[in-house]
Amino acid sequence: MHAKSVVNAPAKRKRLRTEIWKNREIYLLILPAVAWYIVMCYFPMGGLSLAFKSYKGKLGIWASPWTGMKNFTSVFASPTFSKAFWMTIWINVVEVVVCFPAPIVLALMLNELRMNRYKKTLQTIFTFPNFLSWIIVSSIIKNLLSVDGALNGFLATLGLEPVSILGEKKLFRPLIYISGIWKSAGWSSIIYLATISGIDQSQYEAAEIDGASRWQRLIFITLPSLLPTISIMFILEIGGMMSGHFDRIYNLQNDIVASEAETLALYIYRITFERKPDYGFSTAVSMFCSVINATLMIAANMVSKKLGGGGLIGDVNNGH
Amino acid sequence: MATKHVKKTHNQRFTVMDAILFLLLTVLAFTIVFPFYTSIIVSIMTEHDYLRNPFTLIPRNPDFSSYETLIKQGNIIRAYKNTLIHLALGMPLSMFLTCTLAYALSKRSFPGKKLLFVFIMITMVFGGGTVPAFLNIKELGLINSRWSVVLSNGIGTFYVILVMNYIQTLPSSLFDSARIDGANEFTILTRVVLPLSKPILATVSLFYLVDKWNEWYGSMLYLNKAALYPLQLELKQIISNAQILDDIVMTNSMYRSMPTFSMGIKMAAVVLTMLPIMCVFPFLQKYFVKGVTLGSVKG
Repeated sequence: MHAKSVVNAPAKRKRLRTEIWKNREIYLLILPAVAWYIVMCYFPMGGLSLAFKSYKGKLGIWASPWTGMKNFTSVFASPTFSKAFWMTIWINVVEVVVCFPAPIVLALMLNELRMNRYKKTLQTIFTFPNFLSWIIVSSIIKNLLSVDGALNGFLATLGLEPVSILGEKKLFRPLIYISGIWKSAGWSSIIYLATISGIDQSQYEAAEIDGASRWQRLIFITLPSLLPTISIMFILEIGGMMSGHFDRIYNLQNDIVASEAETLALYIYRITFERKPDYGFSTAVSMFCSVINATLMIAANMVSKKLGGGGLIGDVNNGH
Repeated sequence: MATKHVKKTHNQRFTVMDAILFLLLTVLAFTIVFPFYTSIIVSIMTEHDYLRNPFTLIPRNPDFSSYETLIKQGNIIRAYKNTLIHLALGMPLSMFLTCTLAYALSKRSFPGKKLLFVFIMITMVFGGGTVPAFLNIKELGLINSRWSVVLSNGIGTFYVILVMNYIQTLPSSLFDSARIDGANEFTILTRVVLPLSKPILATVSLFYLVDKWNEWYGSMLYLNKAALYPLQLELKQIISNAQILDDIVMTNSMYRSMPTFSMGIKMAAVVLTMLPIMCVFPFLQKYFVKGVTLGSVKG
């Protein structure tokens, strides 16, 4: 690959051919994985063409007739779509403001805790819920909060009135945010803690000699060192914005509160799998989400690189 | 890692701030543990005790009839079997695809390497979404086949990157000497690279295991026969059926004498579903953490 710039074309081509032949075993090795990506990732991406088609079951994705922008016109004209769109934006804004900082705060707290053994136990407890499915977690939450559940049993013991948290429209979105933090903040904090442990200790020692307080060390050394990690996590959060949080909302909702948090992901699911489907229409919504996700991710990546936070999508590293 | 012992020579006094931190973190840990605890307790309670007060720390008459009902009914056993089949088919497939791809990407250069890298990175940024994925499986004729779930969960691109980063940290001389000895790429991969990559392989296979254990969305879309449901989907079914059962019991006094205790059965199903993860997690947590620390070290 380190070809000199002034080499005549046939020689270059011959060199390439020998290079390819030399690496034939590598191509053989990656063949199954490449085939997997083509069938499982690129076929569905090609399937997005359905957004411009009218799906006929007999003809399949590829042979269905083209309809131009018709699906998109009806998507953008649909009031349910725009309601779901703004709901998605709103929920994600609150997610970023409320849920995103939670693991950072938790990591800083854990880092400041001086009891190392206890810290280990705490980490195990905090990271555990992340490894369970939302089906399990939502069942546990429902058990705790239902009208005849443990929380109300506790309130009754204290002689207080029972509260119906799961059936209260106003409380559904807060429940989504809090349960999200409950399940994932512990695990995400590990990523920040890993970064903190990589900080050069001499910085802290020097700051201590200079008389910096514990609080000042946290603000001026720990937090700035976390910025690259924060920006990567932020890019990931932003890049999944339009399709995110499906599991959580889908499993926590019930008929009473469902309308309070119908994001685009849930909207797509509902119109496709719970009704008589119009695959062209659903795919148009899917495509809308994918394009916005990708745009946001690339934009966030660029901004983060500009600000020196380090991007997520880097170049190919050198290897063996 | 945070658990690494950090030498702090000065200022080791236990201050008010330390006490507040300790308290706050302990309360947070309690809010995590308590919901699990009460779920387990409900699963071994009798309905009579539950109705008297669901907030019980130690059940008066521990009773395993909810588990008995559940296991006798048999669906959960079938679902366990289905999940195990998904794991048996999916784990070797995922690990094979991940290792071969990661090894190729860790090589210094070969024609098309950059293209390959872009090819897989695109899938992290852009995807077809639920509907095209569903139609794709449908057109492949995989609806109601276990392979739909196994194949659609084949490669986690992020895990490929983790393994690739790790292989890149191995010393080049090992590869060169193997090549001089005339070993082909497959031999180098299986005899040199994989044995040296055990830490990251342990971590990545754990991640795959948990992902596959918790898988339900693909199964819900692609499998319509209850006989094929994996554990998570069966649990979902039990939860919503129990809900219906609850409604019937609540609205119709005729059924009040029914022997089943729906909340108890639901929680027994929850416990059975999370039991394997709950049992091994405290011992394996450090491997999960390693995935983060090993993978994030670049070059």
